[in-house]
Order: sequence, then C-alpha cells, then structure tokens
Amino acid sequence: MKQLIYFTIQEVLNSRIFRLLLLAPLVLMVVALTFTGLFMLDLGKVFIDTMFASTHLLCFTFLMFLAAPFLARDIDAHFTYILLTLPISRGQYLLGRFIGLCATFLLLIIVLIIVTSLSLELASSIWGSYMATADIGSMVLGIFLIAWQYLSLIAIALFVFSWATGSAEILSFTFLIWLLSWFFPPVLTAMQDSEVAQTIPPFLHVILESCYQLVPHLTGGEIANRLAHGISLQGKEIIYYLIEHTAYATILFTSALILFRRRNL
Amino acid sequence: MNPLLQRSPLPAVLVIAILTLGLVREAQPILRADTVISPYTTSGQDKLIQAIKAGMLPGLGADLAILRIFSSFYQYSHEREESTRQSLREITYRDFETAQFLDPKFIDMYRLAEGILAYDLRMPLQAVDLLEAGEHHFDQWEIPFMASFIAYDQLHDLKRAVSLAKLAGEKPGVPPLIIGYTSRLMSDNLGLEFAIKYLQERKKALPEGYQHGLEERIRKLKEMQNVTAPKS
Repeated sequence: MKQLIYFTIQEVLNSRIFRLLLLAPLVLMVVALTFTGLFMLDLGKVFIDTMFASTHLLCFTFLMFLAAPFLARDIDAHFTYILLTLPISRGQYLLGRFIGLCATFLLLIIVLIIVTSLSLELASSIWGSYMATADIGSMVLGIFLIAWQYLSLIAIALFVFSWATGSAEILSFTFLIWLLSWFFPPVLTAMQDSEVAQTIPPFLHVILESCYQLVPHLTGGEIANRLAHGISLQGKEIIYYLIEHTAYATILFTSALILFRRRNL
Repeated sequence: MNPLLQRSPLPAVLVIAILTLGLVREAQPILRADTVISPYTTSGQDKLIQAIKAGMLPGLGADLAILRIFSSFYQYSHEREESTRQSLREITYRDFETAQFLDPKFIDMYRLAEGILAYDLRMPLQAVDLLEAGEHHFDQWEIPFMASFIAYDQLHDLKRAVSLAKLAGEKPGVPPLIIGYTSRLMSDNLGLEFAIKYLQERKKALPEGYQHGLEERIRKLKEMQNVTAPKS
C-alpha cells in the first residue's frame, strides 16, 4: 500500500494543475494586497479576510479540479482494474488513494501558509499600525482550520467514487454536496435574525435543519470572522472542530470502503 | 501555384482578429446603466441573500458591502436627479445594514456611517440606530460617543444623546473629555464651539472624498456661531 501512496503523490505532483496551484498563492498574495489597500482603518481584518477567501478558493480548486477528476479518471480509464491486479485489497487501494491525496493537499496548504506569512510581513511593513489586528498565529490557525474542513469533502469525493459509474457523477455529486455544505451554515445563522426568520416558513426551517445534519458542518465562517478580528479561539472549540471533521471523514471513508468492497467491478 | 497562396491563412486571420479586437475595444461606446432601482426586497430577504452569497466568508461579504457603499456613494455624489439620489440613499443604507449583519465588528463601517450616512446622505436616525446596534461589540467609547453626538446634533434628541453618552462613559479608557461632554449635554449646554471642534476631529479620520458632509455641517455651525456671537 505504501507504494500506492507514493504513486498517488507522484501522480499528483506531476500533474500540471497541481503545479499551477502551488504557484497560485503568489497571485493571491498580490490580489490580497491590492484589495486591502482599498479600505480605511481595519486593514488587518480585510487582509486576513482575503487570505481566508484565498484558502477556500485553493481548497475548492484542489477538490473539484484535482481530487475529484483524479478519482474519476480511475473509473473512466479503467485504471482501477490495473491497480487492483497488484497484491492489494480494495480497502488498501482506497486508503492509499485517500492518504496520497491528503498528503499533496497538506503540501499545498504548507506552501499557502509560507506565502501568506511573507505577505503579512509585507503588508505590516506597508500599513503599520492599521494591520494591528492581523496576527500571524491567528492567520495560520485560520488557514489550517479552514483546510481541515476539506478533509471531510475529500472523503465525500471518495464516497461518491465508491459507487459512481463515471466522472459526470463524481463531479456533479461532489459539487452538489460542497454547495449544500457551503450554504447551510450561513442560512441557518441568518435565520436567527428576526427579520430573516419572517421570510422563511417554519416547516422549511425543520427541513433545512434535517438536511444540514447530513452534510459536513462547515462552520469555518464564524471562526474566520473571529480570527480576522484578533479574537482567539478556545482550545475546547478547536478540539471539537477538529474531532467533528475527523469523525465525519471517517464515517464517509468507512461507508466508501463498505460500498466499494461490494461493488461489482 | 503562387507560394504566398500556399501558406496557411491562419496567422493572417489571427493578426486581423487581434487588430479588429483592439480597434473595437478602443472605439466602442462605454456601456453605462443610468437607471438605479430602489431595493425591492425586504431588509430580511436582503440579509438572507447576502448571507447566502457570502457563504463561509461573511467577513469578505462585509468587505464587499463596504466597496459597494463606496461605489453607490460616488454615484450619489455625482447624480443630479432627485429620484435616483433617493434610490441610491436607500441602496447605500441597505449595504450598511448588510455589512453590519455579516460582520458587526468591522470598524470601517461605523466610521463611514458616522460620516456619510449621518451628514452626506442625511440619514442621521439610521446612522444612530446602526452605531447603537454595534456599540456592544466593542470595548471602545468612540462608537456610542459618535452615536450620541449625531443624536444631539442632527436628531436633536437630547434624551437619546445623554443615554448614549452614558454608555460611552462606561467603556474602558474613556478620556475626561467624554465626562465633560456628558455633563454639559445633561444641562443642554454643549455649545457650538465643542460641536465644531468635534466634527473637525472626526473629519480628519475620513478619506478626503468622504468629508463633504462634515465640512458642510461645520460651515453651517460656524455661520450660526457668527450670528449668535455678541458684536463688539
């Protein structure tokens, strides 16, 4: 299985999209600095907002344009059959692919953290005290926590892969679940506002709450807002957050394993 | 056959297309939408739409709302037609509400509300509401103080101004100026000189393009000061 992990890492590293993704933080850094310059006082907050948006953008690109098509190709090009002729079980095959993808994802996040740290230094030297709320520790923690959510989403791509018949299904279902996960938390939070609650019938509220339990809880929005204002998170909040996504990813991965073992290839 | 005709026409087509595109882009008229429509959704619907749009990035959603405020305020400043100006005021205020809803701790929004919402767009009641709703998010005296001053200066609501000034006085690090301000406010004896000085200070905190409303108010207060001053 170790070889399959190395093979997956090599495959991803050799893909052009991944190399482009490694360069993307440099472009995003320029965008962040330009965008921040448009504001007046709370420049540190705006800068961190932009960096968190960049993290989401990179993670989403990795998920939808690299991880999902990568898995889809295994089915479309019948590459799964070739790999399964090796002396490895189906479970090891799935695990190898998952760990390989996660390792390259980690590399991407490390590059992003290095570039954002350098750009924060640059921004602080340009705007001085206006960047007071931007703290390097908060920013790195924010990027790490945002990226952690995407482990659940990579597991979703793997889950869809375990039963899908081709790239169309893998891409569309992964995207659909990402879309739902993206929109549920802000909508449910917004519904706590009295003006917003008036616009949504109560039964719809129940349906939304129920559906929300099925998708990963991407609560990074509130975390991002707090860290951008220099408000630190409690250790307990971080631990619960990490465990939640790890548990969700484990459930999805185990379900994928069960389905893939029974699948008639 | 002539060797020139034997060559592929694609490079020539490419050059012609590039030249055409360049010329058309240079010469084409600027497309500008002249019509400004007042918001037709309710405030609640608007907040929900903005929350959906912002998704996992409410902070960035608030930043973009501030950029929309810059843009609609620029349009407002250059617009002559009264109905369009009215629509732009509503749109701008809606963006203030959105920014506060998405990120109530964003200080730039309060700074802009104090200046342009209260003095340029002439929506002091909304400005005071916005500042008052946001004051509990900060351990700073500035925001309730701003709200108090606008309530006094624009709304002439002494009771509200005093209660907001008291709120400012409860915040940490409050300077003695605020205590003096509150006591003078309570005896309804603030004076034009204080108001002028205060507005001049606030003006410095805003970028140049957003100072017009405050300048106008300072000018009016100075005129009033000249009228009431005893002639020697």
